[in-house]
This record gives sequence, C-alpha cells and structure tokens, in this order.
Amino acid sequence: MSQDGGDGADGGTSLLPDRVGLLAVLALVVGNAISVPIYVLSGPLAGRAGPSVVLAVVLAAIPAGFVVLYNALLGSAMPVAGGLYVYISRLTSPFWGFLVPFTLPLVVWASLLVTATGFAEYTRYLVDLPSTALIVGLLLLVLVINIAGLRIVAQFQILFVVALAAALLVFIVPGATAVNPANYADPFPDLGGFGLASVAMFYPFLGFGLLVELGEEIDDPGRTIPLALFGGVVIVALVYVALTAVLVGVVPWTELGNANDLAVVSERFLPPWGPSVVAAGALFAVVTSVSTALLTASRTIMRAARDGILPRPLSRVHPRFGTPHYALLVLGVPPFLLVPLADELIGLSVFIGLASLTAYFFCAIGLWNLPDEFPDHYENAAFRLRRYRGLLFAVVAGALATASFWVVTLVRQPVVGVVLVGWFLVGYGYYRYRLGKVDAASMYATMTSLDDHEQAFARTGELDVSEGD
Amino acid sequence: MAIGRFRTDPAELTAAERAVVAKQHPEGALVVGMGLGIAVSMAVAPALVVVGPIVGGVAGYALGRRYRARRLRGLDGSDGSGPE
Repeated sequence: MSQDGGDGADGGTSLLPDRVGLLAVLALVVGNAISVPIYVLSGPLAGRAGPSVVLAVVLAAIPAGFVVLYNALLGSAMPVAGGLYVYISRLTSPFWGFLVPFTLPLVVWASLLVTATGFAEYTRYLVDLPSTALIVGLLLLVLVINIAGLRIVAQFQILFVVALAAALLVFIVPGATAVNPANYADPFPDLGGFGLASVAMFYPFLGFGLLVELGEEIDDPGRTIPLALFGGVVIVALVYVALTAVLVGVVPWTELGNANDLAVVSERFLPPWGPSVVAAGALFAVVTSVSTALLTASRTIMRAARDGILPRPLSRVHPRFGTPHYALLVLGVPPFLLVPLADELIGLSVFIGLASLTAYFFCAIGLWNLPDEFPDHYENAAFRLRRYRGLLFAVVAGALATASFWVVTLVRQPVVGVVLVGWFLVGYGYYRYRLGKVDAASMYATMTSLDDHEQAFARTGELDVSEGD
Repeated sequence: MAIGRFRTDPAELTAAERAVVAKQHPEGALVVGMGLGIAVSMAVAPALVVVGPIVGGVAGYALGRRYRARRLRGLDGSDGSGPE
C-alpha cells in the first residue's frame, strides 16, 4: 500500500510518495462531505428555508449524484493528481481548465471561513475561550498536518470520522423520537430561501471530488474510486436527510438560524451531557473538513503549476514530507487574515456551490469528449457508460442543473454570480499574461496532452521529475 | 464529435496555429459576454438575468470564434513549423 517515491533528496520532485486504500479513501471522502453542512449550515439554511430544507437536500443530491458519476467515470479512466484541472484542460479547453486552479483558492478560503465560523460557534458552546485564538490554532494545526503528509491526514480522518458518526447517531436517533409533526405544517415559508438552500446544500456534497484529486495516491484507483464514490454518496445523502428532518421537526423553524443549532436543539431531547457530545462531534467534523479542503486543492494547484500555467514553484514537493508545501501555504495562510470577516455562511456556501457546479459542467463536457480525445483511456476504464444512452444524458442533465443554479443565484443573490464572473474575467487576463511569459504554442500542446504526466507517473517509484525553476 | 475544441487533435496544428488557439479567444469572449449580459440585465431589468448572461455568453463566444478564425486566416500557411 505504501510506496516510496524515492525523492527525499530532491525538493523539485512533483509526484507524491504515499498511497491509501479503500477504507482510508472512504473515510476521507465521507469525513469531508459529511462535516460542514451537517453542523454548520443546517441551522442557518433551515432558519431561512424552513422545513423545505429537507427537500433542498434531496434536490442538491441530484447534481451531486451527477458529480459522483463524472468523478467515477473520469477517475476510472484517467486517475491523476489535480484531476478536475487535468480533465477540463485536456478534454474541454485549456482556459476552462485553468479556471479551476485559479478559482480554487477563493473556494477554499470561503470553505475555511464557513468551517472556522462553525468551529467558533461550537467551541463557544463547550468552553469559554477566545474564539479567534481557537480558530487560528485550528488553522495552524491543519496547515501543519497537511504539510506533514497525506498518510497523517488519512489517519486523523479515520479517527475523526468514527467520532463524527457516533455524534451524529446521538443526535439523529433520539431526535427522531422527539419530532413534532406540527413543525412541518408550513413546508415552504420562503421559496427563494428554498432555492438558495438547494444551491448551498450542494457544497456539502463536494467531498466526493476529493477522489479524483488524489488519483495518484489511491491504491487500485479503477476499482477504489467507483466503490468509494457510490458508497459515500448513499451514506451522505441518507445522513443529511435524516439530520435536517430531525432538526426542523423538533423545533419550529423560526427558532433556527445559527451555526450551532444542532447542539442547541439537542437540549430538547438529550440528557445534560448529550449536547456536549453533539458539539464535540462538530469539532471533529470541522477538523476533517478543513484538512481535506487543503489536501485536495493543493494537488490541483500543483498539477497546474507542473504545466506552467501557474508559477512553477507551486508544483514543488517538500523533500522531507512529500507534500506540495508552497501550494498549501497559498491556500492555508490567507484564511488567517480572513477568518475574522466570516459571517455570511449562506452567501459563502452559495458561492462554493455555484463555482463548483460550474466547474463540473465543463467536466461533463469533457466527459462527452473523452471517447474521442483519449479513446484508449476510455476503453481501458474499469467503469464507463454508453455514449448516446449514458454520457449524453449525464452531460445534458449536468448542463440543466448548472443553469438552474446560476438562475437561482442571480435572482436571489446576484452579488455571488457577479463576483464569480468578475473573477473569471480577471482569470482570463492572468491567463493571457501567463501565456505571454511562456511559449504559447508549447503551453497549448502541454495543456491538451497527458504525455508529460503519464511519463512522470510511470516513473513514480524510480526517480523524480524535477520541474522547479 | 467533440465539444468546445478547435480541432479534435491539437497535434495536427502547426506551432503558429497553436499559438493563436492557445489564447482562447472564444472562451475569453464568452466570459466577457456573460459579464456584460449580467451587468446590462441588472441595469435594465433584474428579471432579465435569467437570459441575459446566456445571450451575452453565446454572442461573445460567436464573436470570439470569428476573431480567432480571422487570426488563423491571417497566418502564412507555409510558416507553421516554428514557434510563434
């Protein structure tokens, strides 16, 4: 399972030495997907959408299911680090692919802000400590863990996922007996809030993208990726529905709206020690979410930097820890400055959901192109669909879901759409600037070919691929 | 047929063609058009944001393709082996 990359002497090495198996991958994915939404977003979204938040979860699960399908298909055919960037740049167009690592820092920072806010809320529920110090301490710990290596993160993740599962059961099972059907009497108090909740609830399902980002680091990816994805999405969807149904069933939705509502609501049906267990579970969930957010995004940035479309130093792997330390610092340091500004949980979640589903829309187009562009990869994939029966449906459905998200967002929270499009414009300017710094023809060839990566991947256990400049 | 690619096999392009295609004019114009579509819609009638970005994006993409085609036509077909 473990693989020594043999790169300890060269800081320029760009391949990652550790590999993880199905159990660790499932724990990583479920831990990431099941954390922030359950503990941090459920209360604020229920406070805006009312009982319809349960239906919002179901609706969000539909595009999430397609995302899982895209991940399974592409991950099975082309397991590479930085998967989404590679898929879109190679299979759709270089610029759309470039937007993935260019926009990813914003998504990660937003994600960290949501998570850190939740962390502060639940910490204050348990102990009376300065929240800012706790948040900074948490972010520092997670950054160090990520730089220290994937294996350490995976080991932490398994431990935390077990604790998280226990805390969730403590909330859901007794809570189901305390539900008052009268609280479901007005299921749609705010249709706009329901629409936004559907977009925001997509964010919690994004943990499934983790798998393709870690392709190089997964044992037997052709088998592990589909199994972990489909197993994970079923588990997560069931948990979300059960939890939100209990949340809005135990108290009137008008009493909800805070990030720590799960602990507060559990006071209604648990013994005195119970809410503390729920809050402690939230802290485990926050840690797992923050750690995997950095983990996946850093690999994507590393892959783009290998191609040269981002500064080359971002592709370097630490000679001792075997992690992309510069990319991790780019992602992990700015949130230290931004955490005190985090108070827009729903807006940030909508931004994350919209940006992510937009990326997956281009991913779906790439999926359609896959049999033409890389027929050998598609033929050799352990998991694939028929072109006109399966792939076409997946692409069209993904396009419709993405269009729906954009319409809902632009109507209900236009600033989010404006910021995203504005960032894409900035991205095009930077893309052209970067092209001016390199040989544009070579860059285009690189960003439409898998050759470099495949040659490097084949040499993983033998030697390095020094790309530092 | 592949979607969104200039040619199915980029390796068939000359270096000069690749240098033009690398600039991704249609994609960039799509983003500009989408942004304009949102801005104009919000300025005129917010309800138009349902269609404004789509119209803007499609129009931008079409203009970007025309511009790229013009740039490619302007290339000397015999000068395709070297870098830009």
